[in-house]
Amino acid sequence: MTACHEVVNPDLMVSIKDGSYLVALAGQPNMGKSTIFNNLTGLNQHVGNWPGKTIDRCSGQFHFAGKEITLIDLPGTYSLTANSPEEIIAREFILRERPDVVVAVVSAANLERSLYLVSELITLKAPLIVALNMMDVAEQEGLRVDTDALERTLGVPVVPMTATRSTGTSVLQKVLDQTLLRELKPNPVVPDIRSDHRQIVDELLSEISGFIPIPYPSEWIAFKLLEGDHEITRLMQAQLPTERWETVQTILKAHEDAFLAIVSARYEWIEQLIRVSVIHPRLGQIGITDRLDRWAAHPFWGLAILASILGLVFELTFSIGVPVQSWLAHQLIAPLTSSLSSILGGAPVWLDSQVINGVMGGVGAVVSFLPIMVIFFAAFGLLEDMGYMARAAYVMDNLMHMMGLHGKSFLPLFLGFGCNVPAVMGARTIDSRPARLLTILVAPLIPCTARMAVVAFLAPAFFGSQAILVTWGLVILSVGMLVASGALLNQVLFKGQRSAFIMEMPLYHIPNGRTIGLLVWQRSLSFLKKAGTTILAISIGVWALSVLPGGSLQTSYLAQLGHFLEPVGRWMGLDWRLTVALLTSFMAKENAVATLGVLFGAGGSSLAQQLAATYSMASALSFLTVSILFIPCAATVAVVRQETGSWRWTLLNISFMLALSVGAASMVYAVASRIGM
Amino acid sequence: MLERLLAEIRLGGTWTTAALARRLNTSIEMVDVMLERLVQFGFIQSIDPSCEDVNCTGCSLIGHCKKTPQNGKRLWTTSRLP
Repeated sequence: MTACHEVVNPDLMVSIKDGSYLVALAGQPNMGKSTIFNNLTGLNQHVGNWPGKTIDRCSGQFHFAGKEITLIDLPGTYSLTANSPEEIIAREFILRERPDVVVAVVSAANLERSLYLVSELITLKAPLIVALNMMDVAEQEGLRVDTDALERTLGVPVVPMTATRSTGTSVLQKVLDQTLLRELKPNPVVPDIRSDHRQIVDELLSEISGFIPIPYPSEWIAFKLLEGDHEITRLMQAQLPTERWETVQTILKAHEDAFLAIVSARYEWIEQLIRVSVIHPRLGQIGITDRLDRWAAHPFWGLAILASILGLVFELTFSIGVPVQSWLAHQLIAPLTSSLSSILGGAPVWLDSQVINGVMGGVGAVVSFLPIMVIFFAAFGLLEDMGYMARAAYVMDNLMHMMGLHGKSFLPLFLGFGCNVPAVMGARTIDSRPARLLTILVAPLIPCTARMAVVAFLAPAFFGSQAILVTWGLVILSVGMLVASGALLNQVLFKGQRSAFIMEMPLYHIPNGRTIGLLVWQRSLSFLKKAGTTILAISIGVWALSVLPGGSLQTSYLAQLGHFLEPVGRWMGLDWRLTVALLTSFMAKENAVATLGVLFGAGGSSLAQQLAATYSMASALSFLTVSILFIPCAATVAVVRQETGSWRWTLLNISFMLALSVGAASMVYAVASRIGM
Repeated sequence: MLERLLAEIRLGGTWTTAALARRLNTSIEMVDVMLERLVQFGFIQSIDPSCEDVNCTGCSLIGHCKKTPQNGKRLWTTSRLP
């Protein structure tokens, strides 16, 4: 193995002088390999390309204990399977050039990831040294790596290092010297596979032995064939006689899953190494997360906690948001409306009506519920920032799985909190087109923030102290509809087929006031921008339709449209004004409130009072029901069109939501009327 | 190890990496690297819920939804289990 010779390999162009040694530096990208290379070689480096490749090839020399050592920095690789040119270069170099030593650079802070390459390197003939780099990072993360235990279990030298501070470089040089002088007696422990697969390896070996080209180790070739390595497959196909190759192929086809066993054995090997040498912190943030998740992610208690948190958010909204909203309406919107009215005293009637009824009635009503939105944004921003929202999605999805629903049809739930657009897009992961289309159909049933805000504005006006219960009931109704639709999908389309979701949970942490403040600010600004654009335009449009052609609301185009639709509205106990308000919510959900503001000529809390005085509780409950289940907003419809690629399916989606919302609201109205609400 | 992870995933349902780690009596980091390997094999796929290519004009949450609810964390689903 000693490189006391002059070698010029035509493929890899490595030239080393007589009496010098060849050492290869291997490792995954970002493990600090180049820093170690620089520490060892200093300025004595040469940078070129690997022959025929555009990949950098760094080589350098250094002297230690009277020896000249040529160091080759191999390209960063994750494994020795031919997945990339880098991996082919690295393994071909080690196999063909037969370096005197291979130094595998691994990260002490991430052994799970970086030991995989070592699990492959250790099976090769070249003596191996493990440079355990980034010890400082591991320490910062609270990880304790027992280097001696790792060395004993691996059976090869392990050198702890912090290359960025040049710590450990001299020890590495010393261990390298001892290895070159064969003073150390390594006893590498290699990953092994299950006995049934061992039999297959032996079977393959008996077929290929005698045909394996130098310098490839026979068992390594057998493993790579089972792993499906295309380079080695091609190589062996060229080496073996046709009949022998056909036999090999038959063995490989019969054991297509063998690669899993091989890779699995490597992870088992890594797991054993980590178990004996790494102490993971279970205190601090991770410990707290584990303890909290025993409750927050529990199938039953998790749901109870979620329901309580939702209740608390509603309580906060109604106890803080509604009084502030009322104050805003009385102290800002109403005086502003009066001032504008005075200013416009001499202006044409149509202009006065447009500004006061159209702009202030519509936009004013929507702007006045900014405090409610701010509380929503702050509450959900807080839950999001402290890491709770992922748990909320997890327990909900868990519940749905317990009900026998297919996972993929409920992916949207993970993505749909807050907005239906990502909910619809979540259906992209479903392979079957019918299942994807039908999932898109039900995805908009997830209650979005805008719908919740409308409910939060109207529920206290109609139901006073019972608003929390009503809001809760509406959320449960919406989720219930989603569950029922999903269950139907599962039975019809997936027929009980199982699929899985895996999600990475964020650690809980103390929320950052600045982050939440910024989030609330940005979302509030977006909301106000929307009020000043979309809602303003719709409000003016609604106002125009409410005064044209003759100036009277009762004979207006809007009233005509409302009266035309009134028979449908009547099923739900809605008059034409509520029906029209519902229709305008298509452009943006908040328009329902803006339209009512225009039609009642009032904004803010006076609108709430007028609504409460005008409608029965049965009609109010019906209106809130239809609002929360109504057809999705224009942005969601556009995404449905984009994702389905068809107007037919888009219209079907609208029709489905329309039928569902009208049907549910009609039933709610019938029951509520019967019990005297 | 990888085979045991696959066996758990084959059962279906919703998993967190922490729950899988508990089932396999290993660390979350170990589950994490094995999931990456399963993605490489094409058995599972990671999901990117980003909706940047969608015109969300009119939505008051515009630009913020991609942060919700997984808050930058990763999500996988099964695609072609062996």
